[in-house]
Amino acid sequence: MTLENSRLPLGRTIANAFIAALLFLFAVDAIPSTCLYHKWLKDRTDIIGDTLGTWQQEWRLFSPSPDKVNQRITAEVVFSDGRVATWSTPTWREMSFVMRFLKFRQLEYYDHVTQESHRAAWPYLADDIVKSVVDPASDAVPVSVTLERHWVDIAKPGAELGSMDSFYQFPNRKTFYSKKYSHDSVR
Amino acid sequence: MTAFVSLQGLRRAWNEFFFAPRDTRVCDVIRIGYSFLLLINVLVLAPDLERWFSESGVLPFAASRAVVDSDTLTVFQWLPREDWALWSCYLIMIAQIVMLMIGFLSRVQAICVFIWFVSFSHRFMFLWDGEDNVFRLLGFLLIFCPIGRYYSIDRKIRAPSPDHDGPRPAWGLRLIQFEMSLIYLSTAWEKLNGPEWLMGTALYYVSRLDDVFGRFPVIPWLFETLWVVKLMTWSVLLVECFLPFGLWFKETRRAAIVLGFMLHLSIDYLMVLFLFQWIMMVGLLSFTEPRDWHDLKKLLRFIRARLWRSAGGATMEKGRDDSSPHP
Repeated sequence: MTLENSRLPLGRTIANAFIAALLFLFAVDAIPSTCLYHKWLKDRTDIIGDTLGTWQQEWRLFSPSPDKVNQRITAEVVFSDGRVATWSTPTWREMSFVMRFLKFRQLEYYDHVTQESHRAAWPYLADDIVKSVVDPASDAVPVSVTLERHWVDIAKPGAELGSMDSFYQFPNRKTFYSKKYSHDSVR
Repeated sequence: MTAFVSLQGLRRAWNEFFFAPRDTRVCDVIRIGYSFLLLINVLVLAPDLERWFSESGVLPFAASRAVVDSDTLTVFQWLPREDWALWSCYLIMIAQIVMLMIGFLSRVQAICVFIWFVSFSHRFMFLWDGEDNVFRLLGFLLIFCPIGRYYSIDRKIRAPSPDHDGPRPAWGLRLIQFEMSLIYLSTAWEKLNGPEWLMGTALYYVSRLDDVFGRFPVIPWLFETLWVVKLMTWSVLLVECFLPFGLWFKETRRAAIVLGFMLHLSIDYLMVLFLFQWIMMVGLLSFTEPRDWHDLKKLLRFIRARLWRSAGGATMEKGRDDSSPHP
């Protein structure tokens, strides 16, 4: 016996109320804000979606404007013996599509982690990079790590669009995090 | 009186729309497609599982709460923050996804899989993307679909009963259709507010993204010629504007489904967006009806026969026409 069974009027009423509530919540959440009242409704109903795990927000999918930036992250780790190790995010376009598929979560992570709203994650990114460049055969310990974001803005198209690989160099750079280690903080 | 009549009419239309008995085989097709894709999605996490989700990884639990809405819930907030607990959760989730795929205690598995997936999503919010939102929402709505009635272990072990076989209401499927339309409507709406989409240059920018563009070889000329780029950009915009409405009318439904599939397959050819296009196509299946599957089978049989004949094969089998509407 299920809720929607017509032999159970109460069940049908509950099902109807549930359906109507979901339709309302989904529509309010997914449709881009149309007015201040809609925005107010979004804010008020946000907690329901968050708690149930049914939040969605607007479906942007390269809109209203597509991304116009290519970026990579590099790191420089200095060790106590003076050695300097460098690290960089993978060059995705040089990977086979199978590897890009398998490493997709890394791509997502590196793509999002540099955002200011994710700065709580930067110390752990730094530690993760340091761990990956530590030489187990050496007694040297890391002294400092510096994380840099390199990027290129994809220029507005002119009458000639230019080659598809015009924006694979990263002329802009900015240090977004640095950290000094005490001698026993990284093993 | 008019108001009363229209209210009655509205009520009748609502009941007809959500509760009219229908063939529910497509719900199980969606269940299988969904769980197969979800299995790939979570298996890809395995090599880096501890890196993503453990306390020694790139986002310990306390830090993860700093980058996520505080209203969100995850089972990890009640579990020990140990690697064995993480691996146990992960392996149980995989086992339950497999059981959902083969249809063993389907609804129970659908509920548990949804809880697991939400928990992993909320544990590391920015590891996920649009496709995972579709996975989450389809997983939630699948709970309310009549699943496990076909192509499942549940069907094998269940005693035959008129209550289980035959058409029945599938309001969960209607909600999946509604959600799919909302996704297309929302993105079309956003794109109509984007100057690059209106000017036709959006795909110029997309084709220059070095991380996600270029899955398979393309003819560079296509993306280096302005009028072609404009044509492609406006085609995407047109299809995405058409889909949320075209999917609902019987005159345009099939065309909309085919266009939707073509859109997703072409994006999947060009871009590495993981499973987004595939989970969207699974969602699009919710709009199919038994007759569509039957006609598709006939079409495939016809194509096969033509190929067989043109290859100089044996005499075509004649007089066979499977009228079963099975997907």
